[in-house]
Amino acid sequence: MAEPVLALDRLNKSFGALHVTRDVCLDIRPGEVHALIGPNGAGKTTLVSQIAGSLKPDSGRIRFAGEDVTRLGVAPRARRGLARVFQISNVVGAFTALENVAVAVLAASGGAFGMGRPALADPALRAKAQDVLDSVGLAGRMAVRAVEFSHGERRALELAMSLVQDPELLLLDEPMAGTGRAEGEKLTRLLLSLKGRIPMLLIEHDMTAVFTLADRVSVLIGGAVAATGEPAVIRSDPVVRKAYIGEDEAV
Amino acid sequence: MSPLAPAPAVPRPRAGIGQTAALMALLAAALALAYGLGSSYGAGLVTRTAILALAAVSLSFLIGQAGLVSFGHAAPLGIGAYAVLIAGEYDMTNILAVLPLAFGAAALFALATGAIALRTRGVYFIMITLAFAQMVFYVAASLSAFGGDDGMAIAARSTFFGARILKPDLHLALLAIALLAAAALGLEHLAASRYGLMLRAGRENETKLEALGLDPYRHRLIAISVAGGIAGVAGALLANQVEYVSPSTMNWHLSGELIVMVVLGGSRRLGGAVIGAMVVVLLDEALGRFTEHWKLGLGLVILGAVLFRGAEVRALLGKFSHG
Repeated sequence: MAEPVLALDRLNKSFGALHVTRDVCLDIRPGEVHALIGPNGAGKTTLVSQIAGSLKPDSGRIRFAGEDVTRLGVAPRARRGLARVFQISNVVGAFTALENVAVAVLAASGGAFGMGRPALADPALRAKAQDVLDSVGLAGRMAVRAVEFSHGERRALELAMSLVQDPELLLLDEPMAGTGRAEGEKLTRLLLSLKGRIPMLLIEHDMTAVFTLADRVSVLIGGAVAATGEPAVIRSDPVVRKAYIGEDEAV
Repeated sequence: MSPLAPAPAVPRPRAGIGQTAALMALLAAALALAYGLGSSYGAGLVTRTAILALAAVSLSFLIGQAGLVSFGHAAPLGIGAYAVLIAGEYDMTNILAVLPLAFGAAALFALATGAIALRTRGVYFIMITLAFAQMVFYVAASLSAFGGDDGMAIAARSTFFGARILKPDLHLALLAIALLAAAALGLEHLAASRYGLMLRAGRENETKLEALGLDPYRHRLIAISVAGGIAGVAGALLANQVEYVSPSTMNWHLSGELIVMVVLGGSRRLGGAVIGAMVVVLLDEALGRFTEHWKLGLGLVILGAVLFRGAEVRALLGKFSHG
């Protein structure tokens, strides 16, 4: 089998006496959508921060795209193709959609020091931005400032900013959170259209989205991976049902 | 976010070029008027305005584009002034050497201190830039060979291969306006470039920019150096105008006054700093005639500006609280 895109090897992280990440091993295969679920306080956000590089693990290793990135910071990991979509939509509010995407294009491509021509006058850059905004359903919203976007649109914009960088892995931190039903379904369809092309680690509470999208599901309980397997297996796993999904909840 | 509370508009740097041109024309017209009336006092005032506007524009680039509120901008300005003084003592007065020297020395200082100051954010950045400026102030005051506390007169105004081109005040005034125009247009250009876009993105949302793969540290360091260099040129012009250099050139009062100019005129557009410089210099002169407590009047104007520009000031303060 091909080498996994992302491999976590016995990660541990404590805050004082609180052991938030316990011996976490997890891998994401090429093209796979891997969902990470777990009750509130299971340590999902801490784990995501360690994968993204904003938090250093106490022990353990993180391999990404064939390289040990445990010691690298956020920006170098991002340049290696790790794209993060934040739990709270993280775009530049005062910038237009075009400017946001332009920043994403330039940040990773090394064109970020260009001092010659005006940035937004570059036809190649505009075309690339137009393309990616089309692909997430934001065609015609290029010149609108991100603060004026709806929640779902901002989410789509953030996704566009990730996609334009041709990422090796999409790290999606609760993308459905706060979106309406219709928007959530639209976003699920959008992610479904990317499935197979870009590997994803999907942290999500919305079980419909998880079971629609995921190839495999890992369950985090008390900081440790309680189970990993195909959605159908996880759904019927008694431990998981008891700890997380809830016995009386129909999934 | 509710539509009732729109975020401050994105700076559209290209739109600022017309404003800059209009302001330069205004300065030139004021200069012409002063000469028409035979008022050398008025001409001196215009020159001083243009010089301080040059420093304020560079600070506006730092604050408005990079989001870095430096409370020590008088330091690179003073270093530029001392470059003229010290070079003059070694018989170097050629403007083609003196101006680059002033720019280089000030930019180098800004680079070295900026590299350290950039490890901090918000209010800590303000304090550390102030601390560095105070250090330079006391170093200058201890330079007994160059006047110490009292400062000293420069050997001569800058020359052009021996020709004393800056001797007429008119030439100095024109040079100051021309350099102000060049700096404003150059910085507008920089703000519109890819580099400028990344700088603003870092100001608005540093976390996201890093998650996209760019650590804006080097961008900010460049901005600090360029702004410092330009302030150095302003300092060199100031030394030429008053023909005297003393540590008070880099007093923290001046750093504060430059911030006032930027906030008064608005930091979203570089031209705002020019307007701010005009207002502060005019108030300084007008109120200074009536009362030695003229700073009280300036204080009231600042209060008004804060009330009017509440959103912008809050945005600056918002950054402090994250610091």
